[in-house]
Amino acid sequence: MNTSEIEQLLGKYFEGETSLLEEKQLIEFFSGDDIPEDLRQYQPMFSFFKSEASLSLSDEQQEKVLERRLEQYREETSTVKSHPGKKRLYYFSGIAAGLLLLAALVFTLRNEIGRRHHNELSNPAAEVAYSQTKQALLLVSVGLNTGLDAVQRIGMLNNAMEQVQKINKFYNYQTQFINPEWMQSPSTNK
Amino acid sequence: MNLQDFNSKVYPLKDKIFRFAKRMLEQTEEAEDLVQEVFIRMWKHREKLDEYRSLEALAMITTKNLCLDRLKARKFPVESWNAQQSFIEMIAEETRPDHSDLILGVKEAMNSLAESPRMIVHLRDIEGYELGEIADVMGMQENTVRVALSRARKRIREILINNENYEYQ
Repeated sequence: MNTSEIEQLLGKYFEGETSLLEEKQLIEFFSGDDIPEDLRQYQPMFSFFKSEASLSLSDEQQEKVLERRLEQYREETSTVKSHPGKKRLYYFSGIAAGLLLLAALVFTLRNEIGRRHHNELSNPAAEVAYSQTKQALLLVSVGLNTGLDAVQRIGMLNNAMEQVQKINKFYNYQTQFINPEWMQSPSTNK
Repeated sequence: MNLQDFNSKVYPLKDKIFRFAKRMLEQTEEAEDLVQEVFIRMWKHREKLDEYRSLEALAMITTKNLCLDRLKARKFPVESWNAQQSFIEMIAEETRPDHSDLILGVKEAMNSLAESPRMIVHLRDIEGYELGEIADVMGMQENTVRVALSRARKRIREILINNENYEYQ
């Protein structure tokens, strides 16, 4: 195949109009040795296509992939299998933790209050103080009661005073009739 | 489809699937992995496989979709790791006797293409698919494939010429 034919084919090639057979001819031409200077720039392209087409996947490579995949699969299944159970476990452990916290809180609070009561009752100094206060209050109350008798007597005196005032009123009334001027003089003086 | 049919009809596609996946993912290990994934998908649908016109087209479509999924998932976070990985692979390829710098340049030029034109060039120039077959895999009209193929080939040429000029400067 001469140079001009190749040039023509190249023109068609770049327009996407060569047939597969023509492209094969091009590849063959460029894998030869006697390539004119001005066509040499196309050589790498066609020798690349030719060498790439021979690339293959060896059995060793395939086995390697299978091993990798098997390992990956094992890892995935070991993590995936426990997954739904794990999810439920998380759910319930959350609730359990919440309940535990609540129980702990209630327990400690109750303990705290209980201990406070217990401390007050069991403190001997406080007991002594309590009984002393009680006695003192009792004393005051007894004293108050005795005072009450006196107050009652004062009440009697009050009654007497009322009687006296009644008598006094009556006396004043009487004196108005007996000596009206004497009675009126202080009122005019007012 | 039984295991025997699967082994004789689907399994031999492994190299094509591998090459296609490697073109898209740019990583050998991930491409190897994807081949298995494609086979698993095909095996899961083994009851229906006989209904398909072309098992090869189905395999390639599956490969294309899985690759696009992975690329989408990868895009942002694995970028740096990706660059590192492809650098390691570059070194590995440079030691291949038939790969000169210029040929690696072609690979880079192809990788710089967007996903769809890259797939089209790969299927045509490396796998030697008819435009109609490519149209089936890509879910495009045959004419659209031709236009995209032409544009992608020209783009590769452009990148290579620019690189060459740059090297001589």
